[in-house]
Amino acid sequence: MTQEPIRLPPEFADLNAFAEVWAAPASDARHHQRQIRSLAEIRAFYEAMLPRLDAIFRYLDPLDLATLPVPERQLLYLTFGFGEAALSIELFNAPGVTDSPYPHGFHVVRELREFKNG
Amino acid sequence: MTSIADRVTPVLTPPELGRGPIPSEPYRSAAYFERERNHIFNQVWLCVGREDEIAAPGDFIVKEVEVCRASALIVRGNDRIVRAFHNVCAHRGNKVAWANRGTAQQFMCKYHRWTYQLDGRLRGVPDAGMFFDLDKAACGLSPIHLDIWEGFIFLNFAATPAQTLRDYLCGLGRKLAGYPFAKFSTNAAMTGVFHANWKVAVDAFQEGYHVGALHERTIGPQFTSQRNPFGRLISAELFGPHRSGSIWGNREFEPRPTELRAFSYNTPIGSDKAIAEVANEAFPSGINPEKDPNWAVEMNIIFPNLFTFLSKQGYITHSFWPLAHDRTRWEARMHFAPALSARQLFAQQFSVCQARDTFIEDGVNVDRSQEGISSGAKPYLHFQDNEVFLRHQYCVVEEYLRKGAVAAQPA
Repeated sequence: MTQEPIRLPPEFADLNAFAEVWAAPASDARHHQRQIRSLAEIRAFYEAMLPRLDAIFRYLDPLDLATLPVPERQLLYLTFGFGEAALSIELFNAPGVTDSPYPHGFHVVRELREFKNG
Repeated sequence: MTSIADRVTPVLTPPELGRGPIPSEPYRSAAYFERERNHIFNQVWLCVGREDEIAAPGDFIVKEVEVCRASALIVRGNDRIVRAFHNVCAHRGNKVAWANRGTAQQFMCKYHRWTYQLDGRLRGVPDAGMFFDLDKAACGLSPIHLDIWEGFIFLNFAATPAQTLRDYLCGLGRKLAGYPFAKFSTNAAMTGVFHANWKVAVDAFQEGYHVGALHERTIGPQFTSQRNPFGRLISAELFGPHRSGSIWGNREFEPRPTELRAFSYNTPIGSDKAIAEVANEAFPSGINPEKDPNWAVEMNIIFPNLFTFLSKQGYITHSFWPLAHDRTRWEARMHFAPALSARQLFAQQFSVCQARDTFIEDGVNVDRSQEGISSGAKPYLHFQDNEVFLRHQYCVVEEYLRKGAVAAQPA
């Protein structure tokens, strides 16, 4: 699966740099970013996203999930990446799961919704 | 049932399961596992997937069932009937399907291009005239017993199953019939390998005693509180070899910021604070039998290796596939109603990620438990009242092995 270049909708273009890291299409790939980054990096992303989430979902919700254009899909994946970061910040106060190794050998092998072309 | 907070002595464990410590040897012995293979896994009905995974004619899945040394090819025919076959070519034993899922008009062995119809019949044999009286009608794919319950596909590897699937599922099948499984038609799937005996792995999921401890940072706060600090079960029902219990939810749970956001978008699996208000509307009446207002999830274990955790927002399945006496493949699926909006999909995805982190805690923990059990330092394990399902599993396994040994004796 080749990831397309990041190009968020113009309203959210200020998040492009974060999306380069956190908006991968696969759950495992987003989870991986969380594991290899410092808590400070994860927190910077988390805090940049928090004030934007309401606007992001107001923007995305009227759109049909089945036909999301690439920039909007990347924005959706970015919110999924936020979910990973939130677990680090809000639950563990650490990048990974407490007392667990990484790689841990557990994989998401089917996504909730498979979009064509990643 | 005595309410959770009022219990001062065990109330869930029926006397016939005993009260004593449980030998640890069955949880670490390769010889014991061989007996389980013969007398349990090769005899009982095993769930391998959902019927809607193969919705159209020609859709197939291949399920490796290592514990039965089988590769099962499950396919929907042009007549829409779902059949299961050993994924083995009659010619020289190669696999006729190498992909683990797909859609086919026929199956063709890559080795010499023997072809098989969707109903298993042998269709084509290249250079057939060079064989010696080949009986093509007898060379179809070998069928495996298959039956379907509530959309779940079960296989049975016995030559002749001792019971129909319905008889096997008995009271638990009746209790759960009517739960809206089909409504929760999308799922995310996770997998991993536990370095543990299958029973050690199953045991990590069939009690709530550990939830406040091991899962303190993840789901602990949703399922424990000062009112139920040790994750006691509301109820525990035993149905033949199967079991079903009501899991208590903490209605005073204070969600963390993103949990709160996800709840408001689409209350995720297993943590609905408003569950009691709607619990009795759409569900079969046997779920939450105590009608407890703190009911959160119904946990069901279909012996030997399938869990369903049922809630209002969807359901989770766990399957445990033994690979060896000390190795088990775990497969989980989290089923939801298809998301209609981006925020719903976000909420579901967050639920999947949080559950994955919780399962990582379980997985690491299971491996550590096995290391300790395998050391042999402790000849016995100790199960308390809220670990009644662990005790029941031990007793059921022992019973199957006892009966199996008797049946295997020459007359």
